[in-house]
Amino acid sequence: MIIIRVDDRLIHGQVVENWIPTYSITDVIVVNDEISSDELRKNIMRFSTPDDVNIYFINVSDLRNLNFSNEKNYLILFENIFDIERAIENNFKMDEINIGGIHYAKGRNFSFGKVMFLSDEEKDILRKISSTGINVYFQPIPQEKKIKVMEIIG
Amino acid sequence: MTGIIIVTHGNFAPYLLEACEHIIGVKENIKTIPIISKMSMNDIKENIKKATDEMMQKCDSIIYFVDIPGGTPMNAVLGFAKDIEKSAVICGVNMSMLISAMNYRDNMEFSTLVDKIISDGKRSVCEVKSILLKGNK
Repeated sequence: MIIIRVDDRLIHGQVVENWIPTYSITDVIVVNDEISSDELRKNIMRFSTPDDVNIYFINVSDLRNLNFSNEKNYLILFENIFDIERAIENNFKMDEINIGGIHYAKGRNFSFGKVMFLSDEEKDILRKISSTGINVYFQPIPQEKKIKVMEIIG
Repeated sequence: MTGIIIVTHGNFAPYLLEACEHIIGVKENIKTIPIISKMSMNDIKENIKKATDEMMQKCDSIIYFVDIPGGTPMNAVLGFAKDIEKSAVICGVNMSMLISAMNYRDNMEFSTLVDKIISDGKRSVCEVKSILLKGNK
C-alpha cells in the first residue's frame, strides 16, 4: 500500500501518532530537495519516527527510481504541491493524493478548514492533476472523511 | 473497551484532551474532570463518581489519568479505582501517554496496555537538544 500525502509539516504529531499506526506504515519517504541534504532536519525527523519504521529522504527527481514492495506499507510525504507536480512530470505514477496540511502563507487567499490554504497557482495545479484522473482528496487525519479537492475548489 | 477519565488541577484535562484530539481525532468513552479551586472535596468526588458510573455502563475497565502524584486528583480518584478490579490510576499524564491510551486500548490486554502507556509517556520526556544538535553550533 502506498499513501501519498502533502503536508508542509512533513513528520509531525498527526503523522507519527496517527497515520503511521493507523495504516501500519513500514516505510516513510520524505521527498524534498532541501531536506535530503540537510543533516540536522533529517536527524530530527529520524528521531521523531518510531524505531520500527524506516525513513528515507530523497530528491523529487529520484522518486521514479524507487522500487516498492507489495509486502510493505509506504507513506510518501511531500512538502508542497509544486513538488507533486514535478514528480508527476518526472513520470512518477500516483492514483491518489492526500492533502493533509498546507498552512497559510502570503498569496494563499483560498482556505478550507483550518489547515488547507491555497494560492491561485496551487489551485490551478490541483485542477490540472485532478483532470488526469488522479483522485486528490483533503483529509488531515484518517478519522476524518475524505473530501474531493475538486468539490472544494471547483 | 477501556474507558478513560482524566482528572487534573484546573482546566489542564480538557485542554490536554483537545490537543490530543487534534492529532488523532475525537474518540468515544473519554471524560475530563477539571478540579477548580471553588470545588469542595464532596463536589470533586461527586463528579468522579458520576463519570465512573457512566463509564462503567459502556466499558469493562477504566484508566484514570491524573497529573501530579499525591495531588488532590490522585487522592480523590483512588477511592473509586479501588472498587473496580480492572482499573489503573496513572500519574504524570502527558500527551504521549494519552495518545497511546487512545490508540491502543482496543487491542491490548489491560495490564499490557497500562505498561505500554507508561513506557510511551516516559520515553517522551527527554532533552532533545543534546541528542539532535550534537556537533552543531
